[in-house]
Amino acid sequence: MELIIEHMTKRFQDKTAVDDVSLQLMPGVWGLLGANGAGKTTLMRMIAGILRPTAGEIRYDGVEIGALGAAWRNVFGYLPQEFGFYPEFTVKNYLEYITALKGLPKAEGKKRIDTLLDTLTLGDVRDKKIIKLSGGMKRRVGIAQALLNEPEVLVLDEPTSGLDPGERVRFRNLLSEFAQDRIVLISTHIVSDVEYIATRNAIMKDGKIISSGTTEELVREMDGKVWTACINASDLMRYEHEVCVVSVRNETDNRISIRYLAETPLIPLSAQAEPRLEDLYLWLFPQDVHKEG
Amino acid sequence: MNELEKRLSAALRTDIEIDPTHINRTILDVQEACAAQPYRPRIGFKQFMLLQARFYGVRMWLWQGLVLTAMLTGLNLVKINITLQYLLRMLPFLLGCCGVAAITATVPMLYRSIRYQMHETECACYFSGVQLLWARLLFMGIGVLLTLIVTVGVVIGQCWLGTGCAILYVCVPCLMTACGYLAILAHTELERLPVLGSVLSGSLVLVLRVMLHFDWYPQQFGIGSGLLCLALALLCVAQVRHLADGTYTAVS
Repeated sequence: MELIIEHMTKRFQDKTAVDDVSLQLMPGVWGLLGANGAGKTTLMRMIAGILRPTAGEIRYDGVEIGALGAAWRNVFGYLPQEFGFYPEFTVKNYLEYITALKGLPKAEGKKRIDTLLDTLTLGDVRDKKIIKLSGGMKRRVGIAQALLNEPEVLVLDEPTSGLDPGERVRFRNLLSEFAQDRIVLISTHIVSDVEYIATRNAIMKDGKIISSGTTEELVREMDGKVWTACINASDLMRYEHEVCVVSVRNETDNRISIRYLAETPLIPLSAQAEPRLEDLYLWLFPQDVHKEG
Repeated sequence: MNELEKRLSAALRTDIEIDPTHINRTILDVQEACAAQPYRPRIGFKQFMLLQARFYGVRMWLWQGLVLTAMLTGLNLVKINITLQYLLRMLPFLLGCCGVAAITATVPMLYRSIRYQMHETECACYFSGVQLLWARLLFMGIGVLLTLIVTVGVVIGQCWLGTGCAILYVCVPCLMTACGYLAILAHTELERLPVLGSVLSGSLVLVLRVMLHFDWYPQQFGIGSGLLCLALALLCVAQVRHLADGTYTAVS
């Protein structure tokens, strides 16, 4: 089982959203990290076959997915970043509707719906209208539809958006179990979603893959660039302008412990810290620090 | 061509003695590989259509029933408020508008996928976006046909016009509108349907009004009218076939 993405490019009138992206995906969880506007969703739509690439091709087990057609969609599950529901649908109706679209026979479809409602703890709300559910539950319903046809390739675009931490952990565990002999590609800008479960990650910026590898390989890129230091609270604003501050923690005596990124220690008495994947992400996308700050 | 391809190409051009043992082993390996693929039974298009009738068809037909009721109520109101002579003069225009409305009114239903952000999810399923659209167009077509039959029936029943004229004034604008909308679906993204469709429908109504003003409506259903209807119907079929190559499944 192998999904090869070769030289994929998508140009719109005003920009190149995906620029010569190539990836080779084997069974396991693959993280696609990048800030908003990096091109992740565009790439995922091309994999889903719903957006025509300007150039490049995607091959599944050696066959181009356009040539596979329905055979590709038969083994493929997709959760878009933004998805909705017809207002009249209950959870059960919606899954029955998608079951019909996925061509599942009635008995098999019913069995799959019951299993997924149970696995995703949606059993209690099966007859409730989806528009009345919380954001997290709606997201779980979306995940359920992607899993209905037991796909061999699962593509999830920002799947944990709106989920609380507990739901995120449950979702990660579900995916880990699912991905044992399947290809799962998750795009996210929440690093923790993939940090612990992804076999390999690719980081996307301005339409290009700028870095890829296992979590350990990527984290090693930040060796010697992550520091901790204890500063006065009054100095925080100054240092925030000078360095990329990742986290801030209040200590006693009006002191603050900060974790920051820099090629060399820029704050007196800094100590080197163990890097994490999130540090690499913020190093590559410093604007996200300022957004969250 | 890479090295392997060159060698393969050269080998294929070389005359060699085929060893039956190798052939048999290849056949067995291929059979084993195929058997190892999990069997995924899938329903056929007919069963898919029946399921879609439950989720979509009924809703479409109810909506079209509502539109038909509104159209007939409108015609009745016009009949009450103007003289018979003026009604007969206006009738080709009014029936033309009914024909245009029968198609235009289906746009909100076709656009639902975009409006409720279901389009992307639907297009990535086994039955492609195009097949789903064909199913929806079929349901829509059944509803439109019934709408036209009832409208023509009412006109003939009220003895306002002869059968030929009633069919002509309703069907030609309806077929023109259908052609236009199918062309839009086949050649642009679904997101553009409401705007482009509104422009199309508005333009057709304007043309019908101009024809009324200059009294250009034919007074009987002749061979020319029949050929025009046939040509428009064939154009509709051509557009439906073109949908498979079109941009319906594309998201912007």
